[in-house]
Amino acid sequence: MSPIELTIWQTIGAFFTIAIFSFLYKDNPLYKIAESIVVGVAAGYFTVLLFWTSLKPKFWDQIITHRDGVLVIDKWWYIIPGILGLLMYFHFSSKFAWISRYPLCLYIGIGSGIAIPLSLQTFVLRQVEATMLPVSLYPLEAQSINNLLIVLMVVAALIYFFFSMEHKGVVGKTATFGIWVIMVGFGASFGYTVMARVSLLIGRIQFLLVDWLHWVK
Amino acid sequence: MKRRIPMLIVSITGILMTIQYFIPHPWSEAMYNNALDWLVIIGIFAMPLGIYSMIRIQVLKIQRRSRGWGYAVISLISLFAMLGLGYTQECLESGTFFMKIFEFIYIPIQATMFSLLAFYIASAAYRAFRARNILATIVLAGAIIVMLGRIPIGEAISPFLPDLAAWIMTVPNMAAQRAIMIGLGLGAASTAMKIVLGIERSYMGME
Amino acid sequence: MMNTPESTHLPLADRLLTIDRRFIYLFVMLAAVIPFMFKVELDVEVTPEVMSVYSFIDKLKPGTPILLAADYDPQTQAENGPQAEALLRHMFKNNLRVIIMTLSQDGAAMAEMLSTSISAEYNKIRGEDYVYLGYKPYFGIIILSIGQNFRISYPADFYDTPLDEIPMMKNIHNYSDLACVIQIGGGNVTHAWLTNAHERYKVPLAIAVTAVSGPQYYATLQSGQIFGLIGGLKGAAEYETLLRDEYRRLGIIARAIQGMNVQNFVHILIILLTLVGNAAFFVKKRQGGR
Repeated sequence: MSPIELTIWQTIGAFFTIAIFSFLYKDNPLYKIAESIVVGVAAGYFTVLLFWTSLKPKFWDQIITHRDGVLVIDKWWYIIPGILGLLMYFHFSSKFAWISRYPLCLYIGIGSGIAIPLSLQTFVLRQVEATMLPVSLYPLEAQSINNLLIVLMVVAALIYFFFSMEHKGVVGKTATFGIWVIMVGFGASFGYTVMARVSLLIGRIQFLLVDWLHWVK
Repeated sequence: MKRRIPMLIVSITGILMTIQYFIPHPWSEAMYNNALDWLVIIGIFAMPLGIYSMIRIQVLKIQRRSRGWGYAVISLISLFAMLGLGYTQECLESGTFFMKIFEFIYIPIQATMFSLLAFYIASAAYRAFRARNILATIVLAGAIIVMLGRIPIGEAISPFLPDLAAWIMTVPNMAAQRAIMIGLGLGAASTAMKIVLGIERSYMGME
Repeated sequence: MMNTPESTHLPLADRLLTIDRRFIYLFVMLAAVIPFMFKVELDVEVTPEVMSVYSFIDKLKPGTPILLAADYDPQTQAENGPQAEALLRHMFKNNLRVIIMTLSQDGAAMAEMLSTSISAEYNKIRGEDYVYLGYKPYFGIIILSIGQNFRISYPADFYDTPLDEIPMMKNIHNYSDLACVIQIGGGNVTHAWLTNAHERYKVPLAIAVTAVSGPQYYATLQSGQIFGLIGGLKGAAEYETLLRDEYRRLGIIARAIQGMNVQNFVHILIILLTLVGNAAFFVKKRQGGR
């Protein structure tokens, strides 16, 4: 791309950036136009992408292939999942919507079957296992104290989520400690969320000042 | 036909896939490979559902002359312009006109829309982030320490701040996230089990 | 934009609490723009979680295949973009063979631009030094299918070259042929990489996520399910710090490090806003207000 062409395209980008920023002052047609363009461009891009990089190589080219310059029907049975995929469109028919349940249920069944052992393994067993930490009192080191704290905090936070028992007495006090731990976690998450949002703004200011205006090198 | 067979499909495929995880026999491997292969294709065909739905909504807006129907026209023009420009596979490569639209129109709009959140979160922090009680104060203190400890200036304010922020992340935050994660794992596994056993049927529009 | 005439007669605490939100927006904008006027070389402290990703990649022998899943889109480009660039530069600098893919639909274009531009910096040849596989829908299924064979989901790369005809992919079939997977993104896709790739196929996994997603993955870092974690723009700045000489050699702006100065200003502003808001709130409360 020539420098002039790049500048023109960047100016278009800067125009749309400012159009979106204008919403901060108040809602306006420029913002709405940009918003509408995004909806159309996103859908258009995705359709083109899906056609050329998924439908063609994974479906069409598998069924009809070139062999020694001749078109040959290869994996004909791929038509079956293709038809199953098309059945999903019955979702829009009030009379035949039930047909779309067949492919949907195939997806849900396989997805659920895979999720049962993997969810338990990833998010429960491995997490419990990792909480079983060594605590040595002699010599007492920072890592040992942290390990002990981790065990206590995880147990307390879990007790807070355990509603089958009334939060009274020892259970109540532990649950209170648990909610404090969770709140520290939420505070950290909020701090990180601020970081993330600010980073997104930095990205746009960099585009305007560094890439477009070249004010900053 | 309308309910039992779909539920049977869910149960049979669900049980087979769970068993497959524990028994990696060549037969179950072959079945697993074929299932994945088919699902990829079903997924490819099902994906345009969203696009079809989007077009339907925009067309209805125009037909009914709903408020702001002109914007629906812009959306449809943008859509068909992209479809027209994407007539070859090469259009998806860097430097084409199709990709320039993506790079210099789509990315700036999308990225800027999300960057507005920086302003909103600042406003929310000013208006709503109050130390009303002990729990809110803990959240507030945790957030401020992390915000200061994770930026270069935090080190200049106090060399202790980055260490404290790191401790918060790796001990209390880690413990809280782990408890949430265990809950999430149990929830996901039990929901999946309920689906496979036919107890949970809301995905079919049934109670 | 201005306060109403009545509000100017209100006590200070009330006036502060009823300030037009657009003043706050203006402060944020100024805090984001002004730091760019000063060129400050900041020292970014490198955390152990970022260092472990760097060390892992640095120790790999040239020619080792590695998978880079660039699952991010324009919304999070400001955070994930610098992470992806730094990681890919490091991989190309060490002459690793990189398989790039994405499971985000908008990420297809982002990852294409990323692989094309960074490979050009290092004169890397497509098909020999790197492969770009592109996007396929339904990430959970795709991640699982790669565990069996790349060719199930990706019979061809993004440019329609069959995988069997790509020299680099000759002996690469699934995760067991890779040194590790580095995933860039956040949210559900990262969860799916954890469960469907790491737990199911035991492939070493490191993640580079948005700061919003960052805190939740400390649990998986401590459990050893991921060997490294790069969180947000700060994480990217840490990685750029480790590659500072490389960025200087290439004459490229280390964008994440540049952004850290702004991050300083805006964080301080938000903390001040929070404190002022709280002070006004408590003053008003003491005066008998709500």
